[in-house]
Amino acid sequence: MDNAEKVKKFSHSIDKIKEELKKDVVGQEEIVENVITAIIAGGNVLLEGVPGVGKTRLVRSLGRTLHLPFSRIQFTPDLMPSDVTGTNVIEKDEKGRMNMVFQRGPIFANLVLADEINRATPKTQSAMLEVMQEHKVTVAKQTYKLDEPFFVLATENPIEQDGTYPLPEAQMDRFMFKLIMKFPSITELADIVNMTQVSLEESAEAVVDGKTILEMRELAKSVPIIPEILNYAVSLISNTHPELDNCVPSAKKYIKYGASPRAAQALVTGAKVRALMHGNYNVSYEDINALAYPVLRHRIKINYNAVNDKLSVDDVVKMIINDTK
Amino acid sequence: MLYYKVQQINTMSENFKKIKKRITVEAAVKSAVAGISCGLFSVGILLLILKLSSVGINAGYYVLMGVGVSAAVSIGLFLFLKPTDAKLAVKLDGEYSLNEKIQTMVTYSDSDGEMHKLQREDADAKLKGLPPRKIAFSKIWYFLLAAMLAVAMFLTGVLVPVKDVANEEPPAVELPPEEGEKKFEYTLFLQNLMAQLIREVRECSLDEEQKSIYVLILTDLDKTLKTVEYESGMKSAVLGAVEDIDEITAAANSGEKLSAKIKTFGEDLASAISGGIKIYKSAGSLNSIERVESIKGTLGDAVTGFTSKKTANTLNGLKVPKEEGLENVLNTFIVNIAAALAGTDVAEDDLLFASLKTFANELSGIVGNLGPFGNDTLYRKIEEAFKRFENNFVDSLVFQNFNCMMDVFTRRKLADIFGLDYSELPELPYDDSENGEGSGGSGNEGEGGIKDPEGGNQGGMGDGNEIYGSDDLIYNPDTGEFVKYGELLEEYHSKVLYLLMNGDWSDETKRYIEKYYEILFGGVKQDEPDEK
Repeated sequence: MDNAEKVKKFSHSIDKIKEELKKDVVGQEEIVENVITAIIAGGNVLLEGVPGVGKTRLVRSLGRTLHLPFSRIQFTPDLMPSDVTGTNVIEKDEKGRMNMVFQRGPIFANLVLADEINRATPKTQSAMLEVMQEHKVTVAKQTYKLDEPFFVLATENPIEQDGTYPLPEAQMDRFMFKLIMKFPSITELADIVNMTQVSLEESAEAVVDGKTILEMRELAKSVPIIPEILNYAVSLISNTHPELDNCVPSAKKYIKYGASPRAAQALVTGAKVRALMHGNYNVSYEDINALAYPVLRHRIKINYNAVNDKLSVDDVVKMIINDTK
Repeated sequence: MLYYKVQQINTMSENFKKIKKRITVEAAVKSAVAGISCGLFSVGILLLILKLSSVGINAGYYVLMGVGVSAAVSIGLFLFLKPTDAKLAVKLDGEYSLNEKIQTMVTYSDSDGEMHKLQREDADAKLKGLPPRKIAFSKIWYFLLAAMLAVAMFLTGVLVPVKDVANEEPPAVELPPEEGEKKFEYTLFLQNLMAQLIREVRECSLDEEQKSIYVLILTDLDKTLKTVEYESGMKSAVLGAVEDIDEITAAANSGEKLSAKIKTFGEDLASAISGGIKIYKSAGSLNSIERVESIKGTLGDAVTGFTSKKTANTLNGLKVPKEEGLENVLNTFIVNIAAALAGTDVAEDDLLFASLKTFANELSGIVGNLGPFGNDTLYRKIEEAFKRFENNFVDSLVFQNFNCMMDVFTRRKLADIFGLDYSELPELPYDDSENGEGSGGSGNEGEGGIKDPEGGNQGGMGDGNEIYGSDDLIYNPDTGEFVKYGELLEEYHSKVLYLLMNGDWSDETKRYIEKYYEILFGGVKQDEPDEK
């Protein structure tokens, strides 16, 4: 299949995924698009939103649509790392001998929903680090590779702070995007109510499979990006570091520490996917600017000046974009 | 979602090339317009500057400069405006919101990757879809405006004439002094003499219009002399004022002009005019305003004495019996007078002109009414008209004599004040004699002349009850001859004046000496011994 056909198939697949998701998820078009972008790009997503906005539903529908094995891990304070990764257990075989058998944990899926990930202890959270970055699990010196495509979608409740453990920076950095699901509008809420009056079950059907996702991922990698835009993307990331001489004034004033190089990778990879999703065969400044918010908002730390000026992280990101242009 | 079939695109997009070509042409046109405008503007400026400075250079230099500037600006601007692929790509992406499609196409124009090919095709399709009018000559009107200004400047430079320095009147500045030239000091003494002269002219009985011009000339001379540093400057200013005054008199006196015209048909009348206006020459010295005014009072008789015989001949020539052609004679005379008057540029309000015209009109009235009258009656009519003419005629000649007298008086006074020799004064424009000033005698001996108001002839000065000098002779040590006292007096007066101006005299001394000569010239009333 040549690229033209692949692009045609890519467009068709994206349209079908969005169509199916619309059956279960009302509104949240941008969230849906970014989640799809992350999946195709091979990244993980941190979803933040108040309870009931559809975070879990989105992931579950996504699992159905992508026809990928889906598992949900509800993170609680007493959740152990082995509860996530799996552990060795002793089993008697048919001959009556005792063997150590690795029992896979819920992480062994293609699509993992880490619900309320900030409720788990740091020890448990750290168990996700290797999984999210390298897509493999190491238990008792034994490494188990996860099937591709592998995608973690974690959720965070911004309201409940009691009994939560803020995610370490290292783990935050492993999320490609942080998306904020906002409360639906009145129209959307009405649609949600109407829809759930009929059935609470997700009705999305499988339209693509894992292989297609991988093909789409490979295709997206070939989307060209001109050096000027690449330089712009990396400048954007570099400008978030106040300690650097060439950083922009807004960063110097409002940022405590800036984004890692993973942010640049996420930005460019995500931009390529976005370009293709929008029917373009090249990355544009618009793609970079659009993805700067989900890429940076969990990777930069704003300082007291920003808090004092009542600026959100997104406000600061906007300033950095304006200063970089 | 858009997708395109892969096409064989081995080179840069043809649409891109077309657009680039169009933009290049646009750049070339703009550059050419700007270059030519700059060339025209620079040539226009240069032409204007050089013409106003009266500097002329070969036209070839203008052409060279214009071509050079045009070429330099055109080429330079074209190199700046000429689009490169990268610049054009940025321009197109920005203008038509193409999301960096064209830039990507240009950057990876040589890449063989499948995706690159698709991207190029996609970009090319976008270019193809752009409406032609969008690729417009933007801001060309800036260039057109510049071109119009340049043409305007060029035409101004071409059409402005070269400043004619040669015919320009030189500024009225004092010429640099010659080596060793004496400085001129406009002393208070001289200023007082000038002020006195101006006062005398103001108070004289000259025609008001002429008088005002006299006063103006003298006042301007006074102002100028205050700024003069050297003798040459002073002399130039004084002689200039004298010429101006002479011109006024020449303009006011119509005698010579009319005499020349009348001479063709009336020799006696013409002679009466040309001689009559020079009667003043027999007046002798005109060294004081009092003398001038006094002589004016006698001019009437003097002019009449001179002209009466001649005009009488003219009258006799008109008194022809009716039966012998009185009508023709009169008509001929009238026509001749009319033709003479029409053939001059003398103003109609000139006294002489008016007297002749009036006489001709009266004769015309007589001619028109000859019928019932006899010769005697007609003769009487003619005589009466002639009498009236004669009165006006004499008045006009007196007027013109007085003008000349005032001219002579003023110019001599100026010469005396500033120590100029009379021979340095310019010739009178209305007098062809060698020395127009009255030096005694009208030159027309036996034909009348001015009788001294107090009696006596030349050699006598004085206008009061006592006359000093009169015809007494006095020994002139310079020549060793006995000469009339009056002549020597004048000569010594000039010398004394010169010494007064150039010597170190106190003001009081100068005053006394000047007063002494005034007495000599003007005379002093002596009281009768028993009146004391």
